[in-house]
Amino acid sequence: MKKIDLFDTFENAEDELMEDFTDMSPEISDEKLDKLLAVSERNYEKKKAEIERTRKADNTDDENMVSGVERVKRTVWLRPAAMAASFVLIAGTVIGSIVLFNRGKSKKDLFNSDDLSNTDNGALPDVYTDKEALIELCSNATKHYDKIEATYVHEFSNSDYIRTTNTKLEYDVKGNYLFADEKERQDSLKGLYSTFDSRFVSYFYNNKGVHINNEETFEVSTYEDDWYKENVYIVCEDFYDPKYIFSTEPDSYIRSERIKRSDTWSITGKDTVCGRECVVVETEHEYGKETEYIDAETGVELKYVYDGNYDDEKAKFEVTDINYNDEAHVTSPLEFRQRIEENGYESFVSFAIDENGNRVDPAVQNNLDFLGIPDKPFTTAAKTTAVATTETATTETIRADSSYTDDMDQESIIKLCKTAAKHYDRAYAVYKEESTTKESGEKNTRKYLVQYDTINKTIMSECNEVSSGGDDGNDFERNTVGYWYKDRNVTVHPENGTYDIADTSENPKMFYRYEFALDLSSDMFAEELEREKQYWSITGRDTVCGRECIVITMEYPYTGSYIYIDIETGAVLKKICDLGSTNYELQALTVKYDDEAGEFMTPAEFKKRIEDVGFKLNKKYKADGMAAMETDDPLDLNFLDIPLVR
Amino acid sequence: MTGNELKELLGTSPAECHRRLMKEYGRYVYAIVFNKLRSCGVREDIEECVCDVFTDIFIKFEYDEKYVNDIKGYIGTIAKRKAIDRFRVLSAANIHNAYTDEEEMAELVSDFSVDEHVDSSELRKILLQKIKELGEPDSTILMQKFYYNRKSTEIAEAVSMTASSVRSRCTRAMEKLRRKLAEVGITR
Repeated sequence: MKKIDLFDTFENAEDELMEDFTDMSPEISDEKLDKLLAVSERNYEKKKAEIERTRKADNTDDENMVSGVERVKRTVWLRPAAMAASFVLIAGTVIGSIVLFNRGKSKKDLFNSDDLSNTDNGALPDVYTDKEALIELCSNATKHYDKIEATYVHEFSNSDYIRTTNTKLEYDVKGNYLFADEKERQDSLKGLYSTFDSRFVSYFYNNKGVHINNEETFEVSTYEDDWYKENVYIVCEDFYDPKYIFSTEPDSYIRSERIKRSDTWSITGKDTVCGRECVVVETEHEYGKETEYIDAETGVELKYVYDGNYDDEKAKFEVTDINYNDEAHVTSPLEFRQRIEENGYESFVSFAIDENGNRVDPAVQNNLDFLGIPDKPFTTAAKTTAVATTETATTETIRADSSYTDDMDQESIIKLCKTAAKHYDRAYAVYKEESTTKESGEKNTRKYLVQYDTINKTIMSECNEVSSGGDDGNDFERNTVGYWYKDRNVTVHPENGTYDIADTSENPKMFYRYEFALDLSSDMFAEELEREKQYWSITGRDTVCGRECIVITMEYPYTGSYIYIDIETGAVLKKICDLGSTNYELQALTVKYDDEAGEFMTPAEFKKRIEDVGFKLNKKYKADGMAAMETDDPLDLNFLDIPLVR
Repeated sequence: MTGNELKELLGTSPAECHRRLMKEYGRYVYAIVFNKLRSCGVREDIEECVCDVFTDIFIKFEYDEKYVNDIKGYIGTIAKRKAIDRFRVLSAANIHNAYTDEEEMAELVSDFSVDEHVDSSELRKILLQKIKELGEPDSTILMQKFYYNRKSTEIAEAVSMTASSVRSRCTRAMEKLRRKLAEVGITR
């Protein structure tokens, strides 16, 4: 049995349930509807204007048809799943312009020309004085280099928050792959927005994007024939045409628009950024003043300063280091794969169920073969290494070592667990288990002793539980003692001097501790292993309590476990689990079988103890399927008088 | 409103068309977005995302006539996709904020035990069925309280009751639900 928060179960539900969720959802008041509508309309108008401008620009040479300047505030939540959008402050000005300008004008490959001061036609138009020359330069930015490697800082602030992004960008125009490493920090000034640090590493190649979030997980997105292609926010549709790569991120898009409209800006001089000569361009409009510094050789924007008239908006973007072509290193697809595998990022899927209701297999969705297949595996962990990892692993790093091989296979492990109780007559074990709620840090620790007689199907357990936060939020400690015998269970609560008794004939395993009862006898665990074959693999061997164990790794979209199984008896002796919101660890401290297990408390002794201490009957239960229902049936302790089979 | 009616209205009065779209499908979009963002977003995130969805809907309806045959399906797809985008952003930013106002009630719904073998999809259907079996207004109260994380005062307004009545009704309804769930093997 696992614990659940009832209503959390509804998250990420199937489409068919949405009707019911809608019916039971809060009404949207007229006032709220007006507000939501107003925001949607405003965004719609902006977006529509952008689209219309682009259409006009694409269809006509009449630049005067476009008027006005809009700034679109790039809120952090607008970051699309593919984060290519934000790379592009660098070349955004320019490449966006290509969308608008690619109308058959002659293009000069300035960067690659032998003599930058000359062209086939003679003198190079002076980009410092000639607006058309500058537009032309910017329109062909990606043709002026094969590779680019740059670092830049982008700061944006308004009256509500300050956001700073430090980015490393690498782009291979010909290879058509792009790497970006963004470190973003946002500080809320009024507490209206979230304050956070984030790190996003992204790689785009071959119609796919890989996103590493906060150096913990990675996820692969596919863009081919995807809905995203229709989404104007997303740049990935453009990525595969290098001309467009950086074009639609709102900030850069708008700047490219402005560059195109030569009447809205002025060339105001020269300056140097990162050791490169730049044309300085200024624009003033009703929203504020913008100053841009454009690489005079490549058309790449290297610096941008915006001082807004409203809401204290300010922005500054500046390239701090830049290299082109041979001096630029661009991480190759295979190198990026190596980075993922060597760092051991956890494969992650945002949603475990796809649109058709099928379970998403992370191994399939996040297959990295599209980045290339290495000659040798990056991970060369040997058997023992694999296990050593699990010994020290945090539960956040649970992953299978695919390179591990073992003499045992899945079937033999399932068989072992199915027949676990047949491997011994008696077992004695002491386990310690600890669960920690990730968010609150609330910790629950249990230590319990179990004696299991497989011939008589008798189990006695003593459990001590200590929690740093109980149902009422207070710390507590409690002890329980349980005895299972002849389809009955007695649970004693020493603290309040009572015991409960249950008829478990309908469900003999009711109240069993999973680990010592089920994993020692183990049919349910074996069933789970059989049913979930695709989610676990054998990943190593290790020793627990002097017993050799086979280690299996179970990987689910949101959870994962290392499980250590005694290879002689099939008993589970250790678990390290990431259960999503909770970390869980179980460890056998002592385990002994048969003669080594010592003498057990007999049912008669157990009954005598209850009677001697004077424990009072509290509640009576009856197993009803999986539920324990209170009952008035005549239940007493007399079943404990039945002698054990020896 | 059929696709063709919508198309006609869009031609004559886009603003009215947008209002009717939001009026008619607002809760549907909200339900979808909420379902995806419940674990990682605050109310403002969800409302912003709802606005984003309608912005996209307005844009797409303007330039694309795919919606005509199946408006609801089309809207549902946009809402789901947009919510997934936002989920990724919020998850990556590690934002988590639960805003249950009455903490003592949270324990009512936590730590239920369920057989690990029960498929989560099946479990959702069972839970929803059992909640619906409670009848109105209990099912709505429970869902708004524990799933939509609404305050009792907000729910009270919606169901024309006092906040204290909502609270007591909620507790009783939860107890009823607990029994119903126990009958199918989900216990505390």
